[in-house]
Amino acid sequence: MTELNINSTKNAPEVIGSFSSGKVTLNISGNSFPENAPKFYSLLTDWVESVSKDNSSIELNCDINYMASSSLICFLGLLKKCESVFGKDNTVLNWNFESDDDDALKTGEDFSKIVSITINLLPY
Amino acid sequence: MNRASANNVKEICKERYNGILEYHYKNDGVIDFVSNFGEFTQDYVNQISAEIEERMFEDGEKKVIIKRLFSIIVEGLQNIRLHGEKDNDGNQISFFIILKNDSNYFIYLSNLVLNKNIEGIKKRIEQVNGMNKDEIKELYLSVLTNGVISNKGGAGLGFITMSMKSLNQLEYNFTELDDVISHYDLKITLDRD
Repeated sequence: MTELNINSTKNAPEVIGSFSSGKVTLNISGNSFPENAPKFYSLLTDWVESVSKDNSSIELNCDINYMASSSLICFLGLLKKCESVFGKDNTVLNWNFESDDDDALKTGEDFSKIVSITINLLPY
Repeated sequence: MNRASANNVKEICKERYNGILEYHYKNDGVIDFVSNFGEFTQDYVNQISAEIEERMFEDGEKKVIIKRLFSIIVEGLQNIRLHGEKDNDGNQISFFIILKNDSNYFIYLSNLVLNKNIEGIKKRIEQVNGMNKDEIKELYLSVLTNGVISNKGGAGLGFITMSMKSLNQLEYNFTELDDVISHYDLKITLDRD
């Protein structure tokens, strides 16, 4: 079980995954529009699956400037994966967004209509 | 079966491209923001979207408009790369145009399509055009909830996303090139206020 480190590119976000005392932290920041979104996000879901065996909760900290629709579907897949392996009560999404970005706020609100994890909408 | 030569295909598409530019110059007092005719690589999509974003910032455009235009362009260019058919010589002939005037951005995205797919494309565009804002949102959420990515990498959210971001009707044009392929372009109008 190792930590996850993916450097950002022009079309994919930086991802840093770590764990300590049974708690997993996954930070995702930047733009997300890789052409092959399933391939990119499978790195994250596979990692979540692998660390779920020795950890009991996960916190996702996201600050995403722009997310293409294919990434959005895959990101939701990631949330669903977290929900299924850690349970809805042990999964928290901190959705950070610029306070004047209504579209990002709506995206965060949409997630709560689809998954039952705890979602904190955090304008800055 | 009647097939158009690659040269012919390119010529007709180029004619349409020039026609669109001329039309807007004449009627809308637009300035050419950015446009390109040709084939688009993934690197090009990354680069041009970043450049467009940067230029809008420099022009002092509102952040929400920058993000919406960025979103439309990325969805559109990825659509072209995923779904654009090729001519007889294997070229994925396509173009995109972004024009702006005081009140709007006009965005055109074009590629070749198989004639047999035209009805399906029209149907999907008409579907979102026939819906009000709430209905589109509902459709969006249902596609998102069922979340499947096709083997081509599409999420089925392209038209829905573009319609939600532009808040205007999507307009389209098909020009038949031969028995197999047509040229297709989609026009998206984005209000600047």
